[in-house]
Amino acid sequence: MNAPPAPVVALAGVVKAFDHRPVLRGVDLRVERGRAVAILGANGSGKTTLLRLVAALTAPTRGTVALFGQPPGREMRRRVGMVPHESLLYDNLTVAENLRFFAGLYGLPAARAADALAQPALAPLAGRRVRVLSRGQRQQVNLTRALLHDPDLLVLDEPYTGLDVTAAARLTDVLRAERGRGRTLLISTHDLEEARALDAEVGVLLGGRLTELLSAHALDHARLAAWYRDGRR
Amino acid sequence: MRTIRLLVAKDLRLEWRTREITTTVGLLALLLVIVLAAVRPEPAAAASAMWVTYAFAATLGFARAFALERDHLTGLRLAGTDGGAVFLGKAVVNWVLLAVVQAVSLPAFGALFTEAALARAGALAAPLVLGGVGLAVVGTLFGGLIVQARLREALLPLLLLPVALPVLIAATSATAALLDGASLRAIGPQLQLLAAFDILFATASWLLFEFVLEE
Repeated sequence: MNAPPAPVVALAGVVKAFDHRPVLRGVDLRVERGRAVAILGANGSGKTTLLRLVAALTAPTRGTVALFGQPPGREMRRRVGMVPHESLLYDNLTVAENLRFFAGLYGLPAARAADALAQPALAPLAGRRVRVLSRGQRQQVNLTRALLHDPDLLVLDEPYTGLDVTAAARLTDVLRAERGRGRTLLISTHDLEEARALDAEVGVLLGGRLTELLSAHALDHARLAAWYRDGRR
Repeated sequence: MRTIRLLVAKDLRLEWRTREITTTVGLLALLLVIVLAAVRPEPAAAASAMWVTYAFAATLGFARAFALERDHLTGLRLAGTDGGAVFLGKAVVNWVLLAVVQAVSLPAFGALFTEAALARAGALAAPLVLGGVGLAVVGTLFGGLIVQARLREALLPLLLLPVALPVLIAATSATAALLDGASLRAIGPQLQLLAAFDILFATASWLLFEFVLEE
């Protein structure tokens, strides 16, 4: 009999402290393949830290992190596509140059960047420097960069911040499509509506601990606001 | 090799477009040459003036080079880029930028200190290249170490200059001898010391840089 596939993300008792001040105080999280999970939390609740742990960009102070059933490392990182809060693009390179550069880092052929640039939404931007792009266009290129190497897990840190309604709707469409292709999504946000738009399960970071995952549609704004206010469920 | 080539091409393209480092560092170098020449415009002071200028230019340029990359290191790490490749890519770019400063300032040294700076440019290339590589290697290692520090521009000279002292002493001594008419053979010991320093620090930094990049 085949063993069930390992979860894409498995965190157990994860504590992360900076200068002896714990930000995460024992987080458990299990994300199965093909699921969309949104981490909700107030500003400073540790959402970004949690995502950086998942992307193997930082190590836990205590507890264990496993990606695809393996300890995180350089090889595991390559199975993750990440859109952090800050842009990873080079402002003074064009969109095409940026994508070719990152494709090269992943050891992909130049044709992969060319394919990405052939998308109708990106083609007009190919020759433009990133510094002249709007926030929405930048986010679009960032997302394309994160998907270049066809990662199994897509991690997005507050991707809707600064987007207008049209750009936000376009982002939701792209993320829903990626989920439809079987890609696992892990996203941080402080807006319940964004999680609902993705039909995601949500976990709320309260006082450094993550609640159990529940459907975004099963949570209402008033209850969430009360949790944020009290710092506990 | 492919990753190193990519990193070098990307950094040189960015610098070509913005000229952010070459302009700042180049102007600083020319200013230093003029100020030092105003104090003591003698051939005997030329070698010291050259390496004081290059050391200042290096500390300013290397700190800036890593500051520009700071926000992008996450992208390199996410791609699983080998730390050694990042080190070599950055070290090559730092050396190229320093070499540009050396090439641009050499005529100024020739005009203000001694004509030998230009007449013996071919021979001078040996200590300039080996000394420049030494500064670039140490500067890249420490630049990477302090990239997240708040006072990195102030920290870099404190770390770089003491460690690079053997490079500065050997390179100044070799340069002075060449400007005084000595042959390349005569400065063999200094060149050997510079080469050994370059190889030793480049190898150690290449091996250590993986840990430098990680949090």
